[in-house]
Amino acid sequence: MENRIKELRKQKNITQENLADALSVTRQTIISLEGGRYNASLQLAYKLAKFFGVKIEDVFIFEEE
Amino acid sequence: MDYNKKIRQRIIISAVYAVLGIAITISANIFGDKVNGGYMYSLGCAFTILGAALLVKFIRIKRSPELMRKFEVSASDERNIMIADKARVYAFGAYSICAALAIVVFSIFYMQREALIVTCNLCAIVLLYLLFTIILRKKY
Repeated sequence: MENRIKELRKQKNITQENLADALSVTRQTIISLEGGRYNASLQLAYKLAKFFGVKIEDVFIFEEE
Repeated sequence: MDYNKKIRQRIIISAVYAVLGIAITISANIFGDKVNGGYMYSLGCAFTILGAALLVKFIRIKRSPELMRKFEVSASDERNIMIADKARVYAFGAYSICAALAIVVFSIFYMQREALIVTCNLCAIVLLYLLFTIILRKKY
């Protein structure tokens, strides 16, 4: 699943480290999410959406196979 | 989750490892000739070193708020949990294949006793897998 985490993070002008701290995850998790190698759980998806002040569907782009 | 409690538990477990290791090492020195002392001595040393290393690590974490915070993040990080789960799944699969191959090789070379031990081991693990599948299906 594609996502706009990197784009939203850059809009907010924060580092991966800051985002990781805010969400209580490791920086490696943010790197993997941004690289599309790892899909966030529903809980983390909510946290991300809440942090960026947007809806979940604005962060994650669902593609039906 | 109370991570202070978790650290305390890990300190106790590490201390148990270290004490167990020392006990096994001493036993190997005393009963060495009777119960395959070489293996016991190695096992004892491994447990002692592992226990001592983990003990130092967890005491350091408990004393430092920064390390404690890092431990909390690392322990609760969902990607880390997923990696650990996947590693267990792959290890289970790899072990099953290796054990099955070992059974075939032992049988070819008429090593019936070894083949039986590995077969029993593999059957036990498959049965445990089925048991936990049933329990988890009822739980979720």
